[in-house]
Amino acid sequence: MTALSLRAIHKSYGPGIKVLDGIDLELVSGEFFTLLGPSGCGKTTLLRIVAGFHQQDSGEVIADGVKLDPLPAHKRDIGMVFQDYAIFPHLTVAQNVAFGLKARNLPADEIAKRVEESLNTVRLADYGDRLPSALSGGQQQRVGLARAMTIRPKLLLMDEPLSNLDAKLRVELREDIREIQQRLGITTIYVTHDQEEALAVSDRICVMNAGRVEQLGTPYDIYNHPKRRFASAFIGTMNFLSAELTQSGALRLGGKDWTLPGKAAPGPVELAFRPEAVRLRAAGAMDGIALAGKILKTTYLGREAVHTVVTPEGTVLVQVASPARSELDKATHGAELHLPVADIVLFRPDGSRVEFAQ
Amino acid sequence: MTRRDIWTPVLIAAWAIVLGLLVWPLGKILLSSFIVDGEYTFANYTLIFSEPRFLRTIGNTFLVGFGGMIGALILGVGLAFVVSRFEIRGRTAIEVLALIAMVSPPFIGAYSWIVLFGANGLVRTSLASIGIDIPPIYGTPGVIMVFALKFFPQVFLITAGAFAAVSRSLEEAAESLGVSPTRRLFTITLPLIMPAITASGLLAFVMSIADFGTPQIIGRGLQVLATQAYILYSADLGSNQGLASAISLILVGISMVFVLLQRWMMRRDIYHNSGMKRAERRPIAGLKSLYLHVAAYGLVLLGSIPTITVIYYSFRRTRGPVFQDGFGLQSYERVLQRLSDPIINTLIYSAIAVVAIVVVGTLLGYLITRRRSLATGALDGILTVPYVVPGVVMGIAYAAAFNVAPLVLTGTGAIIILAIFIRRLPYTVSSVGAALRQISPNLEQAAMSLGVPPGRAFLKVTAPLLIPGIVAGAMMSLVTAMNELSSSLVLYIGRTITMPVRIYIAVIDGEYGIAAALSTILLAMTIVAILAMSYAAKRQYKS
Repeated sequence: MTALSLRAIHKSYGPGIKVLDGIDLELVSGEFFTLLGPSGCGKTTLLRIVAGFHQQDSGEVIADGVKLDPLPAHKRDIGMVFQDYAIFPHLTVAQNVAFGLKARNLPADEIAKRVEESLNTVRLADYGDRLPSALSGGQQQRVGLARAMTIRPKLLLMDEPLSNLDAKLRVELREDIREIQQRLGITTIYVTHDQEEALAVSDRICVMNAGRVEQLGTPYDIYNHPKRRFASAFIGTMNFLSAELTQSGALRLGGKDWTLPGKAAPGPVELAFRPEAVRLRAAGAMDGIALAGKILKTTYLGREAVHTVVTPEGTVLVQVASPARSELDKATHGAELHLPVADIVLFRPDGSRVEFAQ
Repeated sequence: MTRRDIWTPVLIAAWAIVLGLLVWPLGKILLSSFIVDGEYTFANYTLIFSEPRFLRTIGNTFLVGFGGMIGALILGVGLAFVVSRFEIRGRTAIEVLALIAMVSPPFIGAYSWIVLFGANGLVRTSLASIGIDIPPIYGTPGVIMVFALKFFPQVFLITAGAFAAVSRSLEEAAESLGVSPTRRLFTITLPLIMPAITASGLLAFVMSIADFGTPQIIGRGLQVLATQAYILYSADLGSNQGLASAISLILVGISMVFVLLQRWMMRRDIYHNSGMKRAERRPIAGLKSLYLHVAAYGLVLLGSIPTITVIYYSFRRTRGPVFQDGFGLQSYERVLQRLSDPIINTLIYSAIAVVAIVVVGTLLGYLITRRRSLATGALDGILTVPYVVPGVVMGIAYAAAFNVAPLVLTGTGAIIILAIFIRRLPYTVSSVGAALRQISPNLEQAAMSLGVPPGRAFLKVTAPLLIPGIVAGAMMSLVTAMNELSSSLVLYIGRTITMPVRIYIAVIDGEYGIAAALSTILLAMTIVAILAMSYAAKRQYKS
């Protein structure tokens, strides 16, 4: 069932400053939907249009079949969690959580019950009487979460809720958010610029750039099957090398032609592949594209090591899982790289992916 | 593009207030400055710029303006540096003394300096008796000295805040790069607080050239634009409103030019401090400690001398206007018997003005800070005008604007209240704006997302958080409203006389006992207001 439809949303701040350039999205009821993109891509503006804090220049916002556009923010019944928490500093934790319930004129015992319930959910049951200044950042954001979900909104919006927290807390709280969201089944739009966070919590991710949707899909699709160059570069690490598609349908790289699984129109392309797709061998033939190079340096990260390899075609990052001790001392050594053809992606100069005809 | 809500009618009302109480009166004198004998002409301006008398007046205005500014800057920045960088005992006492020096009306100071250093001044005659001759304080040097001592507390309070806000890391970085403390002061610290220095210097300049009481009492024939405008306007015979208006506008123009100049100079110098570490005060010992303490306390005590003198003289025994030996309460008796009107008027007028300032100023501050649009931006710009319009000019403008139907207000208390209201409104607007910038706009949006309409979101979330800021601003407005002299002097009639006006008249008439007693009562009221202000300021919420 469709929980929210955005239709042809346009927004600009003055002539020439386009923030949103025709956004069309459909959200399924109960899903965790993430808007992911660099700062300035329009994701926060889009979220605020849904919340009713900004007004779009054109386009429609429809929730559960009702047009939201004529409604002011306070009549939309949409919960929001803010990057800077926005906890009312003059009210206690319990008063903060009760704030939206009081606005709905619920009876006092019902309010008390729901406040207690929500504080239990975010594991702050003993903190009701405290003022926000006595709480850590992570606790304050839990209050923000409790306050937004206790009104049982038809939609929950989160605007970079974790970016003011330190790394460890961020991971902890994102697990909490995901778990609570699934338990309550609230349709959620989550805005972040952190691709790892997006991959970890989302049902679906919408990658945005310069006011447009670049790609929409599950975390697995987004990572493994990027449709455009931007999405492939923004999520995870990607190597890019300049190459060419020849008339005969081969890939020309480093003066050699390599066979591809299908045919496509000739022209200049960029060859893209993940560092973990590259196989490293001292010598000897293997399937796929081969490149010779020299290891410039090795960065050890514990679980893996990353070699920076200089080849005549460009610099390539190569990831080695669970590296042996001997892997780490290969700087200045020569290396032969192999790319399985199944793991490469080609992009046209306009950023679109090369599709092969069988 | 925003939806219409409760703030739309507020914006319309705000424009009505600004147009009616600011644009209309000033427009009126602008117009009348171009009219001579019923015809439009530049005659008033050509007269001013050709007659030596007026050219001297303009020259004098710049002289006392720059003199006062430089003096106030040297004293104020110096004191701020010492207090914010070294362990000085009793910093609170210094700050309170500076505040007292700041809020006492300038003409009280002027009068006290005459009592001490005038032709028959106490200090001068006693020094003369042991063979030290110093010239009497009258004239230009005296005016400049009084300005420096009167306005340095403003500079001190503004730049002390800026000194404290310079991140310690920056100074430590400079030190680790091998820069000596003195060099560091001139290459790092002072450039970083330059916006505060120029802003406070500008304030001292604008207040010096707008000051009416000091040159009038201590200047002895020294004419500046403010006094000239008042004389031309109030002369019983041959009052020349057109010429007075032209002089007034030149005064406004000079202030305006310097405000724009300061903004232009500082256009790029906005520094953002992030991850602040507050500067450290260094412990000092031995002779250095002695010097610095003597200098700091000496300066604020010098600044408070007028206040102390006034209090002292208010308790001297008097017979008629003449001081006798010993102490007595005759001055207070005379004030309470004959002069309760000015006290009551002052209390009523300032109370009404402050309530209006708080309500309107808070709403306007919110509109300008949170609802940015062309209409609110223009409002913000227009509201800087009262900063540069001296009280005398505002008084003349009000007298000119509100003496014709349908709005005949001349001779009423209302016109005095309105003049105070518009003169002090911008201070509250900007202090509310500053307080609002400390409060995340998300708080109010959070309230709205929880289902609370905009008007109630403001009242339930933003207003409670603003209260400490509003109260502090209100008390400051109350203090300045109670001490307002120049516009009231133009607008009062016998019935509507206020304390500062009555004090001014008492000084001019030589009734020093009454002047001292009234001043002391005014000062006491002022101090009560300041104490309430600092109490309110301490009750800030921590977020």
